Amino acid sequence: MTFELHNGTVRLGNWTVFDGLSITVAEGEIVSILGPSGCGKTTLLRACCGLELLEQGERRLGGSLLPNNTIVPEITMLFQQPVLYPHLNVSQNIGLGAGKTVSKKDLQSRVDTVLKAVGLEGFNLRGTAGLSGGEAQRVAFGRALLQEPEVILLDEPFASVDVERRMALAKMTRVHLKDRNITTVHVTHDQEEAKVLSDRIIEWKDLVGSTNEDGYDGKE
Amino acid sequence: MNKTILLMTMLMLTTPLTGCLERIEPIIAGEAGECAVLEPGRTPDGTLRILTYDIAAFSDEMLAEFTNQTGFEIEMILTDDSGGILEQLMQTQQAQQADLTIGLDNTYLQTAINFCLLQAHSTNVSGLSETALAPYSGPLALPFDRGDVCLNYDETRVDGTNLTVPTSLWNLTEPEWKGLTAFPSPVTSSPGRAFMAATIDYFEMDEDNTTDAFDWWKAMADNGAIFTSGWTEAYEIHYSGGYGEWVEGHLGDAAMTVSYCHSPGVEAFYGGNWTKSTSLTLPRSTFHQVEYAGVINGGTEVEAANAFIAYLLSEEVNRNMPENNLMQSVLVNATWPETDGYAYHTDLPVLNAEISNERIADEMEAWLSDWKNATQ
Amino acid sequence: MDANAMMRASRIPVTHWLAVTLVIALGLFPMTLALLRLWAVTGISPVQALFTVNQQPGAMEALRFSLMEAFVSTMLTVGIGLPIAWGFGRYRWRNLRMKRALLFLPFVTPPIVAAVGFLALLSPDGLIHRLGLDLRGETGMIGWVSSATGWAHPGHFLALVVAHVWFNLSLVVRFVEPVVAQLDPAWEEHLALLPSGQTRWNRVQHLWLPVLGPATLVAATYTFFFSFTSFALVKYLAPSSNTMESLLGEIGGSAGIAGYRVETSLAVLAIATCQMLLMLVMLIMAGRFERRHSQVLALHHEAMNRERHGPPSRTWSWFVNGALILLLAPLVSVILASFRVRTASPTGPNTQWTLEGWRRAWSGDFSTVPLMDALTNSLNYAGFTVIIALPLGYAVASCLVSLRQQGRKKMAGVLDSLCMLPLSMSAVMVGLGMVAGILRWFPELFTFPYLPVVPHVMLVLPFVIRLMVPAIERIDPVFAEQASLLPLRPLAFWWHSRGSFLVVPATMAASLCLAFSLGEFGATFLVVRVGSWDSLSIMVDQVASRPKFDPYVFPTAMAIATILMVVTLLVLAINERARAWRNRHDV
Repeated sequence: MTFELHNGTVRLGNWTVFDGLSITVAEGEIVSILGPSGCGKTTLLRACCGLELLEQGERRLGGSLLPNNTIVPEITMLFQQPVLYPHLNVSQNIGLGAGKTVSKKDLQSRVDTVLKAVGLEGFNLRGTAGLSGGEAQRVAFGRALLQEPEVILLDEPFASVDVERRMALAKMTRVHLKDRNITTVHVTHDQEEAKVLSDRIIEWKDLVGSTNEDGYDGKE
Repeated sequence: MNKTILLMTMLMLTTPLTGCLERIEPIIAGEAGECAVLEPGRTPDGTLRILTYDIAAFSDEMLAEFTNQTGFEIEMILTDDSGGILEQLMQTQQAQQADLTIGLDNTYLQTAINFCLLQAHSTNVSGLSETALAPYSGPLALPFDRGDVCLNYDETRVDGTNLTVPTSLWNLTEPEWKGLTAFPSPVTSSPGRAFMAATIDYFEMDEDNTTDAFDWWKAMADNGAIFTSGWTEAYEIHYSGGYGEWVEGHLGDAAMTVSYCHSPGVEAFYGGNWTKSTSLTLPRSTFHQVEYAGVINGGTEVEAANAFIAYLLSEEVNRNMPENNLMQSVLVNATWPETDGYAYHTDLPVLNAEISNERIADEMEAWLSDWKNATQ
Repeated sequence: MDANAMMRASRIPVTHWLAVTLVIALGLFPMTLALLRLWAVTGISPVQALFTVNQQPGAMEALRFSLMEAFVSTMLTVGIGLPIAWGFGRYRWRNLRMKRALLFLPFVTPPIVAAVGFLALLSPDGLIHRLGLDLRGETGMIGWVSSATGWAHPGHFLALVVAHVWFNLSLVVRFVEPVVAQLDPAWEEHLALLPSGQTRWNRVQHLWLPVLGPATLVAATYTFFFSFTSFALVKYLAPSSNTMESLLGEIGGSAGIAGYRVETSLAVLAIATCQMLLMLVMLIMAGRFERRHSQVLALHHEAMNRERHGPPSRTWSWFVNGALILLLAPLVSVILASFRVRTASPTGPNTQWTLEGWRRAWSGDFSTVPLMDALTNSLNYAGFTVIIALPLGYAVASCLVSLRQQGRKKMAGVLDSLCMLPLSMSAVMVGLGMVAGILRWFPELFTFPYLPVVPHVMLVLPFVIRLMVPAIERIDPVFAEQASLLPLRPLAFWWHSRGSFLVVPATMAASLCLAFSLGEFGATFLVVRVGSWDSLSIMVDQVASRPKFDPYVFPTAMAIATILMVVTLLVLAINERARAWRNRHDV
């Protein structure tokens, strides 16, 4: 589905992170937003998924207006540092992405499929403490895939991965996102990574500098 | 929203407390000594609740036998000592939870009567000695054991060479006795209270009209007398003549302390017919202490309470008081056991202090206050 | 958690507010009822009574004694405890968990057991006496000090202080050791490279004092607090003196009775009010220090740190292990005393080894319940204490953390202090308040078998809250954010974002609850008790307080005390296992 943010404003304390920002991402499109550290990219993603308070503005998914400041199951996010639950093993962490009514057998088979897809076959019973940065982020990604979202927001997902593996991981991620036609907003400061992963790159300064990157005039 | 919750919470907390400041009036006996019988404080359940202190008088077998005979189960409610029993009865006067009290002595009994804490028993008992009935023979309480509070001293130290046996309590204020006496406080200890009562009579009846008991107490305090909160501390820690010698923390600085005239007998009984403790039985320096059982006014299982009193005063139970409770039986012809020198080492008082229960009840508070002032 | 939900979640659930209300009420009610009862009996308000403190017999001496012994105890505890904590936290020790459990055992040992143990050490055969210090009889050097200074009982004072150090040493270790163990070694390494970190003293000055200072202050405040309110130890070790608490214990039984010994009621009102005010001030100070202490330092994995520093040197080994052995000495003497009977004879005391004490403890008598019954009672009370205190304590802690996160720090501070109220109250006042309250509204509660659980819960709640607050604050909020993006049911959401992280602190809190409850008198709060409810700790006191004409009374008491110590140690060992589990699963 298409994802749109119109005229979004977020303030944190006295700092206006962005004001009147708009962005539209087509269905299945992967858009990277390129900007330096601390400019507000993460805040944008958090506002898009409902973790951050949008003072004004609206979000639309597939054209439908989303309720203000609410998390919806169709939109998920991958944090910069992969958030894995230490009391669960890899399989169980991934399994959290499944719906509430999935049977155990069905869940296990889906988890196995995801593990294979992200290159972590055999990692089922591993604890999360010993995973490398890349492995951990793959687990988090696998969990996100299991959720079958419409939109994934990626917050510098490869920051904790070493340079050699970063590009490989970016390629793998693109393959899976495209396979599933997931609309994606990706933020990073790494241009190479953006080039490998995305269909379109937007500079942060351009995004906050104009209100209509793509010509949307706010009318239905 | 949160402020509302807080406000409601404060109201909720404080509302029940209104009315707590009302003047609480104790229930006391009328002019003629009459008391209303109070409503039972709980619902009957076939269990006799006995308010007593940590006494060893009641063995498992004894209590099981009572239950066998009467069908009443027994629950013991325990407090520290005789004074604790009185205080507990007073605290719970409006809703008594126990049915029977065992352990009030004759320095507390009249106060309990004045505060309407007891109701008349219906036990038919005979065979009680006159000595036991002397302090009180009314319908509100029956004696179940007795003993004579008196000074005990260490014979190995008070041997005529190091220390001489006093012929008057005033001897204890002399320099040779400095720091060598230990007394449990009459404020917090029953034997201490009994002994203090004895000193009232002792000094009233001596030849010297210019001094009273509190002059003596002051002189004792000036002469380094040790005052402890309870009998145990005085006897175990300070007194050198008793079993305290092998108790951890024993100091043994006192050659004389307050206990019972039969305490040396008990020492011998457990010590293989040997003791170095004996009693000082100067006339009127000893106090005849009687302990009572009484049905509580406001108690619920009254029938069970009366049955237990009868059981307590039965031949098979009461004759064993010296072994089980380390006190004398109240039955006629009660004797101390001959075993292991119990009777042999037990001393008999020459003349107990003559001081009535009523006078104790009327004046005890003033005496305690004078005592505190004298010994500060 | 979305922004809306975050706003909602930052509004504290009503259940949490109810928990806070209940906890405060649990502390406030008995205190208020007791004050009101004494006011009604004496006709004098607590404030007016406060101004008569100096007229109450023994009050000023008790206050002076309390302040002095608490101060000296605290100084000594910190002086000895700090190096132990430092060495314990720094190096890789063998059997670390067992050592920690043993170190904490004194803190939860019933005072009567400790007192008897210490008296054994102070006796002519005892270890301390053999070192040339007659703290009990006050002869020799102690006697010389007494005559030279005019100080009446320096030996008893010292014995009491040593006992307090023994009790409270674990507090210093508990607070300080984790800071040492988990501090990032980079701090020390970098400082050593700087001019101001060249010498050991410089590093102490610039690193260890600032880092360990807050934790030490917290421990010192609680040590002062516990020493100030000492009761049973004073009775046994310094019988000629009184702290305010022991003075209240002596006279409190006859307080609050209308028309009877009104001057005692006035004395109790004055002394208790004075003590309570002092305690509140100390608690508020402790709370402030602790909040500063719970600010996060650069934490590092404990096991890795210990590996880095390796095993302790011989000196450290001797010091810490020696301290442990000394800590155990009083308890070992209790165990020995359970197998030993002493009798008097013309030639002096005879000693024999026997199992008769154990046999009597096992079978009991109606005046004492059988050992297994008492153990069952103890475990029941302890179990119910945990079941009630843990959720309540969690709810209160959660509320306090939420308030602080909302920026309402003052309110959090006030509520926090109010929740600590039970620690500031005299046992006598609580007992009086409970009697007054129960009598007024629920007389049948007097014979409710689980009534003793109430004072147990009151006593452990502050500790549960103290454990839970930093545990909740430590949880990274990102776990909740991530969980909110997953399709989870509300209970699963709570479990994954918070609950699972609190398993270890909850286990530790439960173990502490169990240990405190096992060692708590209960009867100290209640004026009377039903005999068949007796717990192990009450039985120890009851039996040990009996006249000991019969020489088997004492070994019987010590047998019961030994069982109590073993059970407590087992509980503490579970506590340490839980902590080890956390270290394996460090976030």
